[in-house]
This record gives sequence, C-alpha cells and structure tokens, in this order.
Amino acid sequence: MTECSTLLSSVLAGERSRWSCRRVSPDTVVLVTSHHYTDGDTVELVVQTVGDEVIVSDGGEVLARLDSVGVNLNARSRVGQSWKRLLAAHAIEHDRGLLLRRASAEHAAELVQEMADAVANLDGLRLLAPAPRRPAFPERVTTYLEAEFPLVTPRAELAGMSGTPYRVTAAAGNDDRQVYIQTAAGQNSAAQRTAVEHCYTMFSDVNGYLPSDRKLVVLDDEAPEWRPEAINLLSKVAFVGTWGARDAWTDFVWGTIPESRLLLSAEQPALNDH
Amino acid sequence: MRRGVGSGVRVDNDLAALLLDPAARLELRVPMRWETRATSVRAHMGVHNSHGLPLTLGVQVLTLKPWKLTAYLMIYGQHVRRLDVNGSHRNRTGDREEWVDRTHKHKFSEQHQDTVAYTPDDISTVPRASVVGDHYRGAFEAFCGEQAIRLTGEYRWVDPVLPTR
Repeated sequence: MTECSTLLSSVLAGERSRWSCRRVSPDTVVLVTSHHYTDGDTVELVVQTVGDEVIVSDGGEVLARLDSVGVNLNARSRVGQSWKRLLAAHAIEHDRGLLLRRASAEHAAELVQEMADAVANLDGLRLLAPAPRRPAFPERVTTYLEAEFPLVTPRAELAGMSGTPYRVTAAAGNDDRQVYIQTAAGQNSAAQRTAVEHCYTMFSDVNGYLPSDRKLVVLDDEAPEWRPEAINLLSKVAFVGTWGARDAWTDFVWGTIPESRLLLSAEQPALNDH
Repeated sequence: MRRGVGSGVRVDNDLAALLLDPAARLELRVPMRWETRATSVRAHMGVHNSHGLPLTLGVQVLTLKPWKLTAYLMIYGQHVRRLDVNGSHRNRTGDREEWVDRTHKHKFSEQHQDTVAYTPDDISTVPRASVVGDHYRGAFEAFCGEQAIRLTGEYRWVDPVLPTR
C-alpha cells in the first residue's frame, strides 16, 4: 500500500536534488529546475533581481526551440492562437521573444514554479503543430540549390522587355554568375502545358536582357512524362534539365556550359538536340 | 517517410536510417549563413545528400545564454540528431540518465521521438564565459564529423555575431 508520508518524502527529496543554480552576473542567476520540456530537456530559468523586484524569464529558450523546428507562431495560425491563449492563461509577458514574469522578491519562489510550468506548456505546442506538408517541387528545388550554391535568391525578380515583371523559382550561383531557374511541374498534360507556356513566355520576354546560358528550366520528372515537343520548345529560350538529372544542370549552374541545351535524364525522350 | 493527415509528412525510422547511412554521402558545401532571430542567432543550411532529400543543418546560439549552442540535422521539421552543448536533460526511459548544464545529444526514433539522449564522445567544450567563435566552430564541426557530414566545396566557417538586447 502506498503511504503518503513515504511517497511525499521521496518526491520532495528527489525534487530537492534536481534543482541547481549558477550565478552569471552580479544580479542574475540561472536556475536548472526539476521541470522538463516534452523532449526531456530541463527547463532552465533566468532570474534577475532589480531592486525589490524579481524578473523570471526563459532566457529566450522557448521561442528558439519552437523556431528551430519551424513552428509558425503567426497570429493567424492555429498554433499562433494557442500560443497567445497560453501566454494569457499563464500571465506571461512577451518581450521581443523573451517570456517573463515579474513580482516582488517575496513571491520569487511561486513565480519560479509558475514560470517553469508555463514554459513547458508553451513548448508543448510543437507537438500540436500540423505535420509539415510534403514540399512542392519549387521548394524542393530551392532547398537543393541552397545545399549546392553559396548564393541563392528564392523567388528572384526579373523584368521582361515587354515591361512585365516576373518571379522565377530562384536565382543561384556565385558572386560572378547567377543563373535564373524556373521549375515546371504538372500532374496532367493540361497542367504541364500551362507550366511550359509560362516558362516559354517569361524566358522569351527576357531574351536579350539575359543570355540563354543564364536561364534554366527544371522539369519535375517524377510527374508524367513530358512531351518531347514541349522540351524542344523550352530549349529554344533556355537550358532544360530534369530533377532526376540534377548533377548535369548543377555543373551548368556552376559555369560548365555544354553544347546541348538539353540536360535530361536518359529516360526523358526529347525530339532533337538544340 | 510517412504521409500524415492531408499532405503532411512524418519522419520514420527508415528515413532516419537512410539519412544517417554512409551511402547518403552528406556534405555541407555552402558557407555558414547566420541570421538574427528574436532570441538567438541561427545558421540554417541545406545539406547535399545522394537522395536529393530536403535535409538541413542548423546551428543556433541563444543571445542571452551564449554558452548554449544547439546543432541539428533536420528533415520535414524533425530533428534527426540534435546536439545540445551545455544543456540540461533527463531521459525518461532506460537508464534515466540526467545531464545538468552538460553536453548531450538527442537521437530520433519513432518510439521515443527525440526524447532519448546520450553523451557524445568528441565534442569540444564551450566555456560558460568568454565564449569566442572558435569555441562554436569546434563544437559545430565536431557535430558534422560525428554525423559524417563532410565539409567541402564553398563551406566556410563564419563566426556568429550575437546582438545585445
């Protein structure tokens, strides 16, 4: 049978051994508490004494932890709304990302306990955030470019000779040379045709302003096979590559310009070489 | 990779193993790109891999706790491995080991998510005071070494600049 006195003694002894404290400046200490975030990391609090007041903060930890896993706390998102409600429920101030509470020194102990509860709750929002969606093809290509090139500008702007402004998927390269890259994807022939028309129009419109060796269309070849006529058309105004043959167009973006504008995988049929 | 509700994706053990296998040929080919966030400075770079997966490498230092560095390998919003330098943690299962202000590393599994940590072997120390860029560099590059991430191409270490609040 569980005895309250034994259980309480054991809990309180464990509790006592888990707290520790380190001074980091004349008026500030870092407390390692007995509370934990969902991933088992221990809640640490920064406690500052200013006159008769104590300020207990999370040291910016919660926001940094949520930020590192890409949780969107935008006020319009569902998680962002929960964030706001939790802050209010725990009476927490939010100062440029820092979560904090203040009280007179006599309430320091309560404040620390309440703050430790609050920050663990807030951090738990990570588990309520929707699972990230599978990245769309343009995002996938942009992430790839960011792993390969020192200079990447997502959604780079271009101006057509007609005066029409465009945004390509990304511009990538180095300080000396940037290539404008537009992705094209489509799960059926109508969507593919629209994508091809957009690429053709845009890269035709910037002809003269931008040489062909700085224009690249990357086709999603995990989609249904692209019509050879469409690839042929695109190659009139740009180099054309496929996701599956990304090594070929990666070299091209680095500055190795092949004679052929077709940088395709062997499986992708094309009408003829440009 | 597991598809969740709608078009969401969840990381599973197979995907984590695929990324951590030497055949993934991980390389960091780009320079450090630091940005100032609300409470931290963070660098977030794509990692070259043979599967063409959207794998990223992050490193973060808290502005108010410059002795705490976190480095992580992430895909689809999930840390597959995460190093917490000078962090505090307790395992809820198994050995129930506890770290107080001590370096530990989280590993992902479907069963325990990222709650299980261990002590990594060869992460250089970051002091609690007078931290300089080389301390961060040592810990970050050791993390890359442990994860078999080769530092190649245009990779170049850049010291983070911590803003004052």
